[in-house]
Amino acid sequence: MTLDRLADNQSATITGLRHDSPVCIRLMEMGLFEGVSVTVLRRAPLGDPLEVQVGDYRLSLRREDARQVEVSL
Amino acid sequence: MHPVIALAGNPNVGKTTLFNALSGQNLRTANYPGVTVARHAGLWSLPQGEAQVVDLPGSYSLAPHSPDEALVTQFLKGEAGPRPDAILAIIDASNPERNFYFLSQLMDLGLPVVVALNMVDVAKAKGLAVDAAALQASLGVPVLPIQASQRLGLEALAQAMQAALSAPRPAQGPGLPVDGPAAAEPDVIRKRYAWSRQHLLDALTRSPAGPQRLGDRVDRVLTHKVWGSLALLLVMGMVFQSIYAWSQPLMEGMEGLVSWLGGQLLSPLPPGLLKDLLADGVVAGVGGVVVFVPQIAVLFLFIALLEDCGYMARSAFLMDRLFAKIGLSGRSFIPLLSSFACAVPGILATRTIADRKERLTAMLVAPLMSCSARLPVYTIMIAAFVPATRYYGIVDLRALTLLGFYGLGLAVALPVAWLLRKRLQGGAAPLFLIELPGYKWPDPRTVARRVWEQAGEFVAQAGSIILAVTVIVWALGAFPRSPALAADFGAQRTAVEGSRLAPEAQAQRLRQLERDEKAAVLQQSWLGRMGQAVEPVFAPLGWDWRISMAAIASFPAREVVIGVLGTIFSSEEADDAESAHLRQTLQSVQREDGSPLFNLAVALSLMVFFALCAQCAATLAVIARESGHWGWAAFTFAYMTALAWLGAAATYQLASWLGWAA
Repeated sequence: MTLDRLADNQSATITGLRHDSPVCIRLMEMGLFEGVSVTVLRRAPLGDPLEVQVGDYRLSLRREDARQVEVSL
Repeated sequence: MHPVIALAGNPNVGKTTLFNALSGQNLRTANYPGVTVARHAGLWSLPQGEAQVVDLPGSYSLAPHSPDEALVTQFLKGEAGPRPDAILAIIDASNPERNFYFLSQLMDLGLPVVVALNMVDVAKAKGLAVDAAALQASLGVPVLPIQASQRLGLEALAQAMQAALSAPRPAQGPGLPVDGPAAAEPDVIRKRYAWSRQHLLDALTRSPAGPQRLGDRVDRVLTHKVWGSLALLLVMGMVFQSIYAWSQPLMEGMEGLVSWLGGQLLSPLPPGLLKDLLADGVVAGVGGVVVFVPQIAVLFLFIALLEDCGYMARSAFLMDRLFAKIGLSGRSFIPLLSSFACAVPGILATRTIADRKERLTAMLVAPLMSCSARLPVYTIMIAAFVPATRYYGIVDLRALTLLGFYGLGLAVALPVAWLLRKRLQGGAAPLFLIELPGYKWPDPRTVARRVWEQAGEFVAQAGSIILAVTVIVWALGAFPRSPALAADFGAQRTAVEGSRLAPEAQAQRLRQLERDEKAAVLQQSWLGRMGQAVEPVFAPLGWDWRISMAAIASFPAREVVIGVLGTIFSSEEADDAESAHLRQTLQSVQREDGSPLFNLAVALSLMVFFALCAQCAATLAVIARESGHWGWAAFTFAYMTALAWLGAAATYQLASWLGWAA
């Protein structure tokens, strides 16, 4: 399952990222890597982007980028 | 030579607030080679002398992802000028782990590092307590708790920095690569985070989360599907209203002040060329610069407030989906919205867009938004040539036409933005990752400084260009002088003055003569000759040489076209778009064959031309300045003029075919 599939207010643990692409590297640098717990807080009115709690801060990312993040409940 | 200190940290950690607190009033803008976004450097008083602090853009990593981040990396490595002597790293105590990732890179650069631990109060409210002394012991560099917004802890910070400069000792980070692709290897990233956690393990205590914080409740409303959208609409309505309407009295006041001052200074001068140059060239040019200052100041007041309190990121979050469709992001929303009032502050507002290519795209389409300078053109053409028909008793055809012209700019901007984005991007999608920072009260000094700088920079950078263009266009309309013409009008004047007409009729005759002389001078000026030379080019638009000339003369600013048309047709109250005289003049002027020059088709083609053209020296000057290259201003002028010509020609041809040219 990927991060974009989580419902609002649902938490999960990251199991990995799909690629070593620049997007995934930046996501890792922002603290999204294996073992980190994430919560989807909400979606913007038009369904995209997502607001995600990562560690102690909130990140807004687009659905297509969230699809790169593998999670397990 | 002052020692140089780099102020570095993640975005949204209070870096600019700290910079303003440290540098006091000793501010200067520093330009680094090859860098178009100006960076600030200020003097910081340390116990044993002053040091220069350079405020670097907020950055998440030394492995750069944007041009701004690349600048930070280059600066810290000494690739953009001399290497700094020390780094002042600012850390958000309420989000320590991710901040430490960047700190781990800064500590691997081999420079002395002093850590300023900011937002300790916010962290406490979140249930996070960071022990500065424990961190200092474990990291081996000075760690000072501060509250930048309250100016707390700055003296101890200055002492620590003084000590670090007096006896420089490079910081010891985890010793991982900071150069090239190796710096962004997944394994390196994991190790850096492991290093961060290890150092925070003993220094960070988490108490169980307290009651829901105020910021969370506010955020729940402001990003809500319904309430959030409504709040955004309200905020944007206020921003738009403020630059569109509330700045008007200030703008008129500024213009009035300049023309009054000009009048006072010029009245002792005898009438003649010098006085004309000063009045119609210089004073008009200065007026054309200061008129923008209120809008820029008001818009940046809002932008600085919205950014500093944390709402700006939310507005980008809410609007992103719409802009993603044309390859932009939510960050382009405020600059483009502002451009509906005036493209100049709108283009300056693109500084809030982190992605350089997105910023350039927004800058290049911003002038297509229907700004307030187009309004005089629309007003007079619609009033003179669009019938005041009402449909269903309430829908006014004139209002509908006006609305249509507002929509036209937007409708053209969408595909243009999409195309530009595709060409500039080379296929790769931009990354939209924005942090949604906690809400806080805006720092008044940071806000005030932003407004002051923005207005000052505009006057200094774009002002001279606007002034120069106004003087050049004035000269084109005033030269060459014809002695024969002057003698002819002189003789006519003498004849009127010597006639037996009543004083009132005489005065009226003289005024008419003066207007006729102005029109005659304009006709045989360089500008008039240019209009005649390009007449065939504009013939498919239904224009004659006089309209063509007025369009050329409006290069400094669109609204100038009204005044030039008024002068060439020697109308009374020549430059007042609301004037009935001017409206009647336009309705009655004829072509050489006696047919009316203006009709609905010509009026529409003129309006379409002015909706799409780039006749605004200020906008072009600001694009050149903000993009760092005159080529982009030339490109904007070329593409918009081409679009304007094509659109106006198509409009005229279609309207003629519909029979509206009669």
